[in-house]
Amino acid sequence: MKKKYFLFLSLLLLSFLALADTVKTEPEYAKRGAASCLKCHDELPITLIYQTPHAQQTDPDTPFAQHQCESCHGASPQHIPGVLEGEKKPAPSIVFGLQSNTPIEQQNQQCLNCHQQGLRMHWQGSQHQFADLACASCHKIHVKEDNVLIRQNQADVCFTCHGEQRAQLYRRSRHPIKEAKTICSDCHNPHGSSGEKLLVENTINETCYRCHAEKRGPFLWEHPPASEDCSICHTAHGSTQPALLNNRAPFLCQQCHSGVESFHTNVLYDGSGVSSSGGQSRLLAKSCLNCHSNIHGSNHPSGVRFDR
Amino acid sequence: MIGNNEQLNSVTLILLISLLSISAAHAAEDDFMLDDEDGFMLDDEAEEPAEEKNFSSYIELGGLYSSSDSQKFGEYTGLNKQHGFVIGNFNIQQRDAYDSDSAAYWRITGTDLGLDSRFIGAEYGQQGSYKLFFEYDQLPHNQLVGARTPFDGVGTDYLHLPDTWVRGATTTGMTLLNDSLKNIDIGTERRKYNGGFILDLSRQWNVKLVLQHEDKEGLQATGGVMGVSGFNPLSIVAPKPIDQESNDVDVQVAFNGEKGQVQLGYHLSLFDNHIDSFSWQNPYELRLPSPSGYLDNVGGLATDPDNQAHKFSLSAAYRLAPKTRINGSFSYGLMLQDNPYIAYTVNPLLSVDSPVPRESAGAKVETLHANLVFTTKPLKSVDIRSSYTYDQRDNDTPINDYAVLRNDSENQITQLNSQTIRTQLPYGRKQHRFKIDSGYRFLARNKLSIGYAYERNDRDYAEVELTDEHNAHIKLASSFMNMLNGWVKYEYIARTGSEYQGDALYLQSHSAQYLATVPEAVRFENDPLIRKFNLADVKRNKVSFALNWLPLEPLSVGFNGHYSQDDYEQSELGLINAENFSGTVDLNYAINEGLSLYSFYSYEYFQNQQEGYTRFSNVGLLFSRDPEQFWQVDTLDKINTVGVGVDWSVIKGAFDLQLDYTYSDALTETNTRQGSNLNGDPLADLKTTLHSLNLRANYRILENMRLQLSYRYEFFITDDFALDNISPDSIDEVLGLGNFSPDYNAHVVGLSAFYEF
Repeated sequence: MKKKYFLFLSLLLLSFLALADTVKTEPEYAKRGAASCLKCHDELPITLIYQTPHAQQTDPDTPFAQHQCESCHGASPQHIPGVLEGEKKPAPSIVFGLQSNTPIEQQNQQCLNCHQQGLRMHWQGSQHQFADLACASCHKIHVKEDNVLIRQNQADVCFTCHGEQRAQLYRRSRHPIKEAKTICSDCHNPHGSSGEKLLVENTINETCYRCHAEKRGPFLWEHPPASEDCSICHTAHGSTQPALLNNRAPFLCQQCHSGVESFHTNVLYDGSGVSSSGGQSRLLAKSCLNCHSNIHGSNHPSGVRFDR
Repeated sequence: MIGNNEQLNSVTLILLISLLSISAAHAAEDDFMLDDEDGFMLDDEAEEPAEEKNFSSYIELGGLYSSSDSQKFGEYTGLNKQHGFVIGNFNIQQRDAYDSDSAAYWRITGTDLGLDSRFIGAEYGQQGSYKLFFEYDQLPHNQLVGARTPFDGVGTDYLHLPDTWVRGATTTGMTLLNDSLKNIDIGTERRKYNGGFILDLSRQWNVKLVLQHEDKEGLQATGGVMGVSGFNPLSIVAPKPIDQESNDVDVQVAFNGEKGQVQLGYHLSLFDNHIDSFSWQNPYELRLPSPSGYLDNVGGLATDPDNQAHKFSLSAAYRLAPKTRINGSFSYGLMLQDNPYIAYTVNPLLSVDSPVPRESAGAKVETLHANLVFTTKPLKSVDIRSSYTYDQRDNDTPINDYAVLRNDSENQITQLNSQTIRTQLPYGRKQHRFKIDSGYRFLARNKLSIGYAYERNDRDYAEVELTDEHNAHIKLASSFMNMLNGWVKYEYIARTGSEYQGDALYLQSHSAQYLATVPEAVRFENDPLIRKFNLADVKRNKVSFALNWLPLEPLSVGFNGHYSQDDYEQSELGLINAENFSGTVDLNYAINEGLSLYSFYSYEYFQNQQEGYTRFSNVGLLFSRDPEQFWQVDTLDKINTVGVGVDWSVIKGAFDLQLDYTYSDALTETNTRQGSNLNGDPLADLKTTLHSLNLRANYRILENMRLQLSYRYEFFITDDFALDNISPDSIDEVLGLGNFSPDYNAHVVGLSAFYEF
């Protein structure tokens, strides 16, 4: 009797051991990789990915050098087998896009597993991350070329949400964004940055100096708002006023200047000034800059009033 | 007993069968285990991606004709001449197949080769190993329409007048002006060369080097004034030559680990202005009492000086826990400028007794920037982010006194009690910013976020030494059944500061001896009541929102916008109120596989209210103010922008059409209110209207060739009282360029062939 019980217990123990070994802690990836997926998903645009860097198997860091489709869409054993007619097939573990049931954080982590460095280093805590923007909101992977990486097409992707900036492109004074000469990513890093407004540099001025180094100085005679923040006077995307100004001279200047020794800055320049001597030079042509031309700062020993 | 033995045998048999089953299953699962040596390779019999007839490269060649010679139409393209242009675009690329032994790729790209805005780029690399790249980019900026000047020497650093020039007390008296006018093109062109490499030293380390050189040449409209008194300026707007060069070097070393990333970088920027100064022969008679010799005087401006900037930066990020991450950056920058001074005056007839205190400014600004961000998710439904930023601009430019000689129009005054003895003020700032935000997710698809931000600025040489800004905000985001999602956010911002010292800059930039001659009540640069709006106390209320609606699968509608209102309640003069609204509606409709359309409408308005007080002499401050001398200016901008577009595959794979139309109109009203002592005639509105139509038709003539017919129409008209009907002699005291606000009616027709492969 005791022997039989011992045999029984041994067999039971072996069973448990076998069961324990069977319990998987690793994700269950498809044995045949992308081939399993292509049984159903062999049409455009999905297969365009094969023409992109993501599919280059010689590079060991690409999805297709690892678990192929499931490198991004997650191990999806529930999705691969066929289903009976009328049954709904379970979705892959990770589906991308704002309409997906996959949490945005989980979607994004798939991308960040490889793309956490460089421009994406400051993603966590950035405005777009905290606003629950998905990588897939702006980036498309199953395309020959991602639109945000094509200079001529990038702005249209941003304008999906930033309609105000799109409208500013059609104003009288603007940066050459429509011509793709300055594109959104020339000034902004949408993945996060150490500066304000997702700018590529630490400050607004440092960003502007990338193309406007002549304004960098430092000058002998500084104009404090110009040294502190270009956006005190200018708006970068487009303006109804010349030279991307927020408001036109002389009124913009008179928001800060009402001279004590220089009386001409405290005068009201109304419509009568258009035809009067004294008023004309402040209202017409370049207004205050008819005289104060080095308004961003002057390096002339006599340039204290930015007119030299 | 037979029963007990039979039961025991049954149990054993069941267990054995179970064990065998489990083992069989286990063995089967072995087939699904990764074969690490082979990785995942497709079987010979496995599914292959379907063959697609899509092309990765193309060459486009053709020609276009533009009907407009407007500088404004061709502002950034060079389509500012009424004639034909070559259409030349290409994108030729090759990438080794995904399953080949090589990861090589290369690409050459060219756009707008027949225009002044041409671009050429090339890159070659081995994916995962290295990348080499080079670009050439041209950018014209055609600025003014209808510019004319009587000066000779355009394009040089000295403008001079014709030998027979007749000086006038005003432009009206310049009798030879109209006969001397010459048309000139005001604008610049940039040519940029950019190249470098990225090298993957290992799977975790890479090095990047980028070199950039840019030339910028052309003419820029610049004001130049003669005369001393603010009420008697005599100025010109003249073509200043631009000949500048920038050189940049960017080096980065980066480490990318599983948990942490680090990047170390250095950026050098060198700006070189080949033109140190710009001078002109004065076309006016001087009004001030002066010897007749002053008639031959010359005015001179300093140009933007050569400068250099260095920046060392370190960025790092680390994942402390699965849901907790810290990232930050630190950078140190140095901006230097040491261009030799030009003289106090370029007029050799004026006496200069006191030389400049030093040969150059020796200007030096050190910048420091540190930023630390901490994010965590203590609960599944709660996320928190906080950050601290320190930014410093430390201006170490040597401070000296300068005996300023005003506008090349007076002998130098060196008495210490003169208002012409000035001290320059090296502006600097330290800024601290702290932010914390928390988001709480509830009911599956909703998120409530609240946050607070604090910013302190400590400024050198400013009217306000310390400003504190508090920002509190709350945001609710919600999504309903994947077809409706949106958010609304409210922000309240309040800025306060230490005491506003309107005389701070005046007292520090004038000599003590001069200040002793000025009554205390008038020791101000600006009216004591004015507050500079970037320093002044302000309260802002801002609401922003977005809503996206998918009523049908192929139809999406989006709304987004914001409203903000700034109240400078402590400011009696200067900007006192600012209001801004922007709203956009977007519609995208994929009607069927071959037809889609989009449309959008944006409305914006900007309103600024500012107050001033007119005085006609500084002694006015010694007496009580006259309420009939206060004035207010309200500027209101209203802009409408509408766009529609259609993308239509008329015959699939053979003939398609794209059409885009955009309309924009902007109106700026300037309204004045004033006391009875002042004039208050209305100012004309500023208007801009744009119609822009783009039509492209593609017809496929062969499997790999198609023809494209393009038509572009653009109508642009502006009304600007500052420019319209203003000829060079319209303004008594400004000899201008006579450029007018741009109007054009442009047609561009193009025909090109695409070869695809």
